[in-house]
Amino acid sequence: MRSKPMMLSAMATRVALLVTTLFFLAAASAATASGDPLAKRLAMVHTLLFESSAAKQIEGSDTEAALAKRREAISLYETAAAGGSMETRQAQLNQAVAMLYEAVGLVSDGAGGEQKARRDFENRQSSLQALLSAHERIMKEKGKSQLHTLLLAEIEEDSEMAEALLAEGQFVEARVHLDRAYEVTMLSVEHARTGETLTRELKFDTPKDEYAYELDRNDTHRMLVKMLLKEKLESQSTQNRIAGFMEAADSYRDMALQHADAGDFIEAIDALELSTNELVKAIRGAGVYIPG
Amino acid sequence: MKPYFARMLAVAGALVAGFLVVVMHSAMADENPNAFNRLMRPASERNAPPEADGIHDPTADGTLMLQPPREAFSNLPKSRSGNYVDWNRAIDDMLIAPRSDIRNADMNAVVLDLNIVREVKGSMPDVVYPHKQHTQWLDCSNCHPAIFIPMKGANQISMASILMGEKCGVCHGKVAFPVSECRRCHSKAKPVDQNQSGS
Amino acid sequence: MLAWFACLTLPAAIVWAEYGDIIINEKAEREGMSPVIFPHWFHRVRFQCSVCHVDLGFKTKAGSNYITMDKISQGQYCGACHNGEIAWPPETCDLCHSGEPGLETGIKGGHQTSGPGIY
Repeated sequence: MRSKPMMLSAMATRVALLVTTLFFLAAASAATASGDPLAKRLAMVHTLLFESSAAKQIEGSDTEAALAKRREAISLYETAAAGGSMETRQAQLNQAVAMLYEAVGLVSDGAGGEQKARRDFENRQSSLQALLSAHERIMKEKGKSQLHTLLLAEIEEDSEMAEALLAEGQFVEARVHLDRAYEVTMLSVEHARTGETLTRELKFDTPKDEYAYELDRNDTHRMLVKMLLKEKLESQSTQNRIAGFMEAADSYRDMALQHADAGDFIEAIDALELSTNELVKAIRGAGVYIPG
Repeated sequence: MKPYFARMLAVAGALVAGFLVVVMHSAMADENPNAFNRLMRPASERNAPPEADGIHDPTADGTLMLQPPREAFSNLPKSRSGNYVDWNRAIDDMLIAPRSDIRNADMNAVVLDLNIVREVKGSMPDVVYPHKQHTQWLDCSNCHPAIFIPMKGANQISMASILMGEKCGVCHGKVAFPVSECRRCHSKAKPVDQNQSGS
Repeated sequence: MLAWFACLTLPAAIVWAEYGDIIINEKAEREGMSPVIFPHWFHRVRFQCSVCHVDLGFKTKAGSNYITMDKISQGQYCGACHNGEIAWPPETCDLCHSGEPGLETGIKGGHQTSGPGIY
């Protein structure tokens, strides 16, 4: 522990520095504050009224109502730019912006709204399909309960209705049915799976599958060397310390690739495991512990 | 001239806050020389206010009107990385209640309590994926089937692909907690005998 | 102490963006506006991820959502909330268009995973 007077004197120095900093910053801030305080906002609104894609869209159209609204917005902007009280000018600018939006609404093609609605619909539909196939597997695994059978009938009905409405181009109504089918499926899956733990065991059908896993694991550790040791690798001594491990890891990996080319996946797996071990040693050698 | 006075106040406030943090930081360092972890950002650098974060324009009035993250996080539980907020505990402790519907605050999303365990090689702990914490934020369709097919054995996941921004890496390491928090996912330790024989 | 002084007077030199901040600048600067900064943290306090990433159809990949003021004014994307009812209206340009000039579209704030995201 430092003694109290020492702490106090350190505090005093810091306060003095703080005051100096504040003074300089205040001076700098006052310098930038000169000129029209609304200048930035005026410039932004000017951009929106004259240069934005919305402005160009209105200009390029022959919708008189939209062109008139933009002219009105421009004149509001000009009044605000000329002066007046801060509050009035802000309000005028807000109104000018709102008017330009109204104007662009008159000439817009719906801003691609239909396209987006269709894309959102398709995304939701593919999620419904994925959930339904999970639902089917659960029913197979657990046996069809009466509840699930009932729910499935409801889901199918809504889902078909959604398709039919979509075919007629009724996006909004179609989406309502699709969402209902989706929600019921979700609830049914939730009901069947709640509180469970499913385990994906580590087992491989063929040595080739295990080789692919090991290759991925080796890639992963190479990326971990880069990520975990990013700052440490700036030091030459750390680089020297891990260089041997990295070389060994590379040569084991080369061996593994050769074995795999020859179709000997068992040998290749062993070599990759040795390579990954060297990478773990490199990471640990640089002072970061990870399990092997 | 009001906004400029406000800006000066904000700058002064930021300085005083920075000053206090530095003082507290050095006081703590005096007491515990081992507390400092050089891989971790010092507290004074975390959750910087918009005008000092290097991406907002500090001369724009709008920047000074935005809420500084440090203020928003002040009553939320802390974590070691990312936003330095434990977002899941914040929900569990009911300190935040993010809506699942834009307009309807009373609508509750379906939360699925289903754990998926994925075994991995070696002594690295197995991965536990809790649907519960994820469905407190997400809908099934955020991940299924675009990122993960909801079927056992259908998804090849590796740390390499995650670090490349695929699979879990679509969110983790960007917005959800960072991938350097290994043990938050690799959380199911293996039996001891396997640990000893494992590589 | 000197280091502390230096870091207070030169804050702009270091990027301390909040984790999950998104810079949107495919169009903004080309059309004379400052880049937009979207703070994930502020929004996740109030809304679940699925509200924007499912209900509003935002793809989970920085730069893959072609957001225009036109779409916003018609209630799409940000405009679903930023309409003066739920959140500030698009009239207050500089609250969103508040980024430093020259920033590239993408994620900031010490991200560790790179790459594709999903469409």
